[in-house]
Amino acid sequence: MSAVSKEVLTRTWSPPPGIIGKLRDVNNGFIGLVFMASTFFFFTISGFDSVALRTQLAVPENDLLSAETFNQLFTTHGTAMMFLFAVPMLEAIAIYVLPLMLGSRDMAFPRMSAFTIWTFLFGGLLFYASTLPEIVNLVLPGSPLPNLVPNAGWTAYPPLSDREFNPGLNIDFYLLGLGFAEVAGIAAAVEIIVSVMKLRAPGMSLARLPIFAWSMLVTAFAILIAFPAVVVATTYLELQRKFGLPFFDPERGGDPLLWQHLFWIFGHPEVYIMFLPAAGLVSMVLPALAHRPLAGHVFVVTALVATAFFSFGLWVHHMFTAGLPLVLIGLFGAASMTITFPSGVQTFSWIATLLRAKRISLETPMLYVLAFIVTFVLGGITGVMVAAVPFDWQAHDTYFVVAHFHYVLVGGVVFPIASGLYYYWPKITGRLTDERLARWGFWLVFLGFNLCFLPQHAAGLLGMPRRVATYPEDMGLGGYNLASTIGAYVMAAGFLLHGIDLAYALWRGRRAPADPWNAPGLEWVVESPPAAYNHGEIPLVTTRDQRGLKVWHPERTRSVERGPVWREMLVTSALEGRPEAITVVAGPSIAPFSLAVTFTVVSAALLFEIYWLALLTSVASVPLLVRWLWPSREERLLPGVGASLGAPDLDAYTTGSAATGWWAMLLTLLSLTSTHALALFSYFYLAYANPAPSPVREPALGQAVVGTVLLAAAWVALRLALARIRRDDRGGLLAALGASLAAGAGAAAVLARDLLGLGLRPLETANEAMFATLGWYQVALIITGLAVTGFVGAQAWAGHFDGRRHLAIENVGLLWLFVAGSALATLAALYMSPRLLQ
Amino acid sequence: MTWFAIAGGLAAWTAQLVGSYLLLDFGCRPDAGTAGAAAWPLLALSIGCGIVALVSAVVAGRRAARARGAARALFGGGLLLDALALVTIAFGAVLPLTFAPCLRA
Repeated sequence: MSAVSKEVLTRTWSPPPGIIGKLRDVNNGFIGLVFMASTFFFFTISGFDSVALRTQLAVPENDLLSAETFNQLFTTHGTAMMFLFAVPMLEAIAIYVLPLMLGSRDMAFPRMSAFTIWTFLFGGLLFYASTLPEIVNLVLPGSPLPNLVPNAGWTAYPPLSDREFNPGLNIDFYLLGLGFAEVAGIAAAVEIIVSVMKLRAPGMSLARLPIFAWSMLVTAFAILIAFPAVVVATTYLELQRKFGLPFFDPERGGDPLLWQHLFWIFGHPEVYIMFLPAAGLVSMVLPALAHRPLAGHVFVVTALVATAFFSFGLWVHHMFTAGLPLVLIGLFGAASMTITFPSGVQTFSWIATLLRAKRISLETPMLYVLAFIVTFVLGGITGVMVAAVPFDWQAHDTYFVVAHFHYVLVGGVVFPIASGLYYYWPKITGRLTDERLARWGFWLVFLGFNLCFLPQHAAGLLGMPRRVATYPEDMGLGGYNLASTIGAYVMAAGFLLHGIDLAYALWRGRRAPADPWNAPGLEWVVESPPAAYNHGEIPLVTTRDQRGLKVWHPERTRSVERGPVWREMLVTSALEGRPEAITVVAGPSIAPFSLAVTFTVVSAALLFEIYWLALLTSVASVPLLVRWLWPSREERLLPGVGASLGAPDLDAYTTGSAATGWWAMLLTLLSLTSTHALALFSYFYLAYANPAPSPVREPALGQAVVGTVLLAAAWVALRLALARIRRDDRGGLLAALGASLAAGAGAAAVLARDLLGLGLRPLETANEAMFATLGWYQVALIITGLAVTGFVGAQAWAGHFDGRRHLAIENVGLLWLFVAGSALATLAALYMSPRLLQ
Repeated sequence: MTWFAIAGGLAAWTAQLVGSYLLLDFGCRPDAGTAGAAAWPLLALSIGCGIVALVSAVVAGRRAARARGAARALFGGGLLLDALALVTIAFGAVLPLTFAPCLRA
């Protein structure tokens, strides 16, 4: 590519200068780095928590920390490691690496990426803000500040997390932190799926997709389906804590086990949501440093898909001691053992690749891969042990389980992350790390880890319970615990060395070439660090383990030197990677950052019950949102689009499955469908647990039918709107949109009126609380549909749509289809099921 | 049909697990005794899921026989997964016939 072309692309893709420019930057390179740095920051704080915990447990009957402080530390440690480090770090690596790996210039929705990272960062900081009063109390003993640190463990089971036993804001901070992490996680998942499915280089069919991209694709789908469970659970718990709705209160017809079900329907897939991308990283690093293609590539992909499926059928194994029917726990025990099959396929594939290796480069990334295989296999074996129900009954809530999940999560997730970071650090920074320092760090981490957690198996089997601040001397567990604590310090020293090494490399490291590992893959054909546009020339992929750059239509890309250039990328077909369209992504904007700030302020205001501030900030965020979404005239007309891709013949105004926005809408609706299904599951769960007839006036079936018919009419009107605009009939479009708005508003009014007239007492029985919550949630969905339709209507009024450009109309049609479908399900559940249950 | 051949067995098995959970949790009310009303629906669910896994295995086998290269390996992997799913579904079918479905620990 010529110097002029590079200059044009750099000008197009570079962020504005200065600090404000950084806040406006939406490029995946910058966003990925901020995401990684944020997760590393939370990892460091959480690491300090764990060292403090181990220091307390070093000797029996220690009184260094109070029991309350100990509870807080293990709660923040677990919560931060799960929600603020492991999954976000893997998503951060994906956001940075995927465009390089796929041969595209950015992720599909850069402003969404920016919103994700800022939301995540502010959410994490807000979570840790709960510790500030406690720090002040430590420095100034006797200060009147309240203790706000979450303290009910990362699982926060009610009734311990209910207001009765936890009256402060501690658990509210926890719920808030989770809410932020989930919103960020779901947004990133949508982004990742669309990017992997639609923004691949020409020729990169699914069969040629790199394993890490496969693993992120599978993981992102799992996130979309699993994360809503914790969104539903935390919403119920917050409603119970703030307003007294008794979802988990057995005295008023609630059930604390409902929390456990929802939490683990999320929590178990979460383990694989962490493990699968980590395994994907291993499947990238290992073949590169063994200088052989991955053995059984197809089987590894199949195993990834299988593991994701299995992960949704295992949640009950966290509840073996909850008193469920024996047949049920037998089924889930067997299922828990069966997941070893796909994990085994991957493990044997890695071993086979090593056995066939021409030469194994034993550098730090490979050392971590080898450590991963050994540690993860050990963790997997103890996993099979606790999948055996009788053994689980004995080992439950002991340090054996603590040792097991640390072998799985540190060995299976942290080691691959360390491997991946060392592998990609030269690419990210353009600098090489100091191999000697890195090896010292590795050995300290590996040996420290085993010294810390291996003795915990024995301590657990000898009766050391989890989550206790101390233990009596006569239990004879002092030696095991002291060894564990020494191991924790050694491991911490190893991580500190890694931190120093990576920072030193950034400052003084030797310059890295484009491909320091002689590895296959498109990420290694661009310079280190990559330019803001990642790939200037569009790569052509002809084999799975392609080395070097083949350019797609090299003669055409020269036209970048002429005419205007957009932030444009090639859209390819989902299966074959065939070029089918162009997508133009949004450029720098302060809107994502500002909206993340307002989101944080609204959440904090709700937390501290400053409702006027929450309302004011929400209203203030509307113009920001409009600014984000409202395209300028030039952005709508896109003169000269496709020039920098060498594809002036491809269309930039696609609809349906060729459009990235269509996919994003579909995936968002998938996640909302999961949310809805779990909310309905909760309704039936409680309705069945407490089958007493409701004293509420029997819901009027007729009104529900009218509401549903109106919603169906709103959707039909949207279909009509689409048909009109396809024929360039703008008048017809406006009329149909108006009809849709009227029908939707009518449906909302009918349902709201009925809900208000039912005389529900949501504070008195869980059934009525569930009825009211579901009913009003449905009304909220309709209002959301109305708001989106109104926005699109304003665009239609301004003349943004014509026969070629009407993706937004199509997407609103999908939204109304979902709203009508979900209303049908909700109203059938609320209005029909009481009759059936009776 | 390609995805059904590869993941049909897994989907059937996941459906059996989740469906069994719903049947047992909702079918074993505290006042239902140890037998409950869940045994026959459980068996019917398992048979249904088993048939889906079997059909998926047959499709995978036929496709594997016709395909070559990576596709053959993919369908071979699907066949193995379908077989695994069939075994675990069969295990799930036998369980409620062996124990009273609502017996609790």
